[in-house]
Amino acid sequence: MSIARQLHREAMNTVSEAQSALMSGETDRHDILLRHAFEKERAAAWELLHKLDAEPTRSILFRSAAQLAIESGEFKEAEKLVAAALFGNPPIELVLELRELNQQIANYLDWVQFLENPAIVHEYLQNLRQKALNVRLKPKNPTHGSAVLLDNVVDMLKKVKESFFNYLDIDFRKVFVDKFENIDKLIADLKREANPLIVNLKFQSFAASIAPDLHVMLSQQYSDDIREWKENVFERFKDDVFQTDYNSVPEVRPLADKYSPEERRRIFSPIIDLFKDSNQYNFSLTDTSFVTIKRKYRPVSKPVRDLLIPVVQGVQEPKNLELFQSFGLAPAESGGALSKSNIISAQTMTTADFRVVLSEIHFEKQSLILSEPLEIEIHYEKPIFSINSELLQIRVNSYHYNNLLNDFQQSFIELFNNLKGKSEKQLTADELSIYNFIKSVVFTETL
Amino acid sequence: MKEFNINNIKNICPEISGTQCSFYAEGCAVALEEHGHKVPTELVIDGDFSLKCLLLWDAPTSKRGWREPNDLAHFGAIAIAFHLTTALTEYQVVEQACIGKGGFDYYLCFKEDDPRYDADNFINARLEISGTNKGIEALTKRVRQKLEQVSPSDSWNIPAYVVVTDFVKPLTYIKKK
Repeated sequence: MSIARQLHREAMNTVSEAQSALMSGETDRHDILLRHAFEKERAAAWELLHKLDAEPTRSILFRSAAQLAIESGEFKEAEKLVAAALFGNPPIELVLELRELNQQIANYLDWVQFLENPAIVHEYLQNLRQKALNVRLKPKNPTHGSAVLLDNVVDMLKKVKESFFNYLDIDFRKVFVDKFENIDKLIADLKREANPLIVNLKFQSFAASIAPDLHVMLSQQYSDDIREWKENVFERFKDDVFQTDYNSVPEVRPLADKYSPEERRRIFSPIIDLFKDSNQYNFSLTDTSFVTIKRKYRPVSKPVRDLLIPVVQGVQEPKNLELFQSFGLAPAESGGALSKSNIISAQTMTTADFRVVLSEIHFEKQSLILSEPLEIEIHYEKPIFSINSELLQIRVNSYHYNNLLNDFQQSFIELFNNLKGKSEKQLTADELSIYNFIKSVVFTETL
Repeated sequence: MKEFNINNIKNICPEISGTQCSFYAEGCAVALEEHGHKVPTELVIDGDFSLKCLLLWDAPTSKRGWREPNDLAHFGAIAIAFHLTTALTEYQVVEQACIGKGGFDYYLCFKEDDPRYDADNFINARLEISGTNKGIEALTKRVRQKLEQVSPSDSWNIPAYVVVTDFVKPLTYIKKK
């Protein structure tokens, strides 16, 4: 047996060992074995460097060695191996494969060069920072110096992302109405690409620049019109959502004309939540240095809220209804049911947060029986009850508690039906995580 | 009539591990028995060759791990193809062709006693294998598909053998491209 063949055989056996190591979770061992395999395959290929008539064996070994070099992160070596293969007389189909591999290597090398060059990285970040949304949180009642709670930061970032993704979805459908058959898949891909980045940070109490990279690393897979849309969608999102005076009805009215109530709910509810009186923080926009406040936000006035996110069309605000919180003493077996005589104290609430538990979800004729009770947080801010489930990305509000629960169940079932109707490939990462959660709590479905 | 013992793959394909050879051999034995064949069974070989041979095998100790008919046909066909390729052509099996887009399953090289054997140039032919459980019509269709499938590597200027076995009769069709 020739040296080349012996080395090649050892390399292939080592690749098999590496694959076994990977399957048993030994990633370090896998990496070491893969490198050994690459070294052996490279040696086997070089044995045939001058055997130009040993085709297709010669180019197959060089191609295989180049592939292993890529998998081992040795891109320069991979480049050399492809060049050596092409230096011979590879069959035309292998030439095409080698060129494809070469392109792949060139892309990797560009990327490595890009990541290793501080000047380019700086320029890239500067580019994103120029287009970023600069936000700042400060605690309303500082208790730990000026530190803001992590929960508040996470809450704010999630809401900005939720609003942006909904904006992206709605805007794309409006701009490219009926243009694409596979629009759901396209939007899912765009959302993956548009996942916002933190491109700058400062302790101020918390200040961050948020931007998606939709314009620098432009993916080549899209047509020119989509690329143009991608380049300015975040700018338009910032204008529509953050440059609006939420206490001026005339300023908000164009938004009410531009978007349907459902679209407005999806885009603006998460943002309006950032301005709530009951929040522990103040939210503002700043300049890029986070020092100068560009815009402060106050809780949204009722006329603006009614215009922007109408509670329920045709339902009147209830008169003379108050939410009470009662304290009382009653026998343990009563389960907390209080008769009038057992109440010690009752107070009117203008805001409240409480939880309810659902073991089934119903809407029209469809029912979902849950394997474990679903706990839902309800927020009351007189006179509106609301549910903002970040986990499910369901937001509903109502003047009436019963309507609120009905609306939530309707949204839950619509969401379930919508996700169930899609293949896994069509789902975004967020949708997949929601769907997995729903599947984990839904025991059975009855129609 | 020539006889092939299915369990003898390791001796004719030394490059393939004994465990893997036993696996293919057992799949082949179960595939044959699932179609009611008993030792010895006559195998008809058609296409570029026209002959009959006898297949022998050891009875599988358990068939509980072999319930999926497509798996049986697939792995059983590999066992038969290894035997027939080695016995009927000037080539032997080198290894699985996993990297690339050639459209075939295994690399073949000239046997060492062939005058064209070159120790350094050990990829001399292609082998594409397939198995069916649906009779002659399905087999013919599969052969056409496989001949088309190997086209991307036709420019390599080395022959391709398409070896398709149907376990109903059983029948193996061998076509060189």
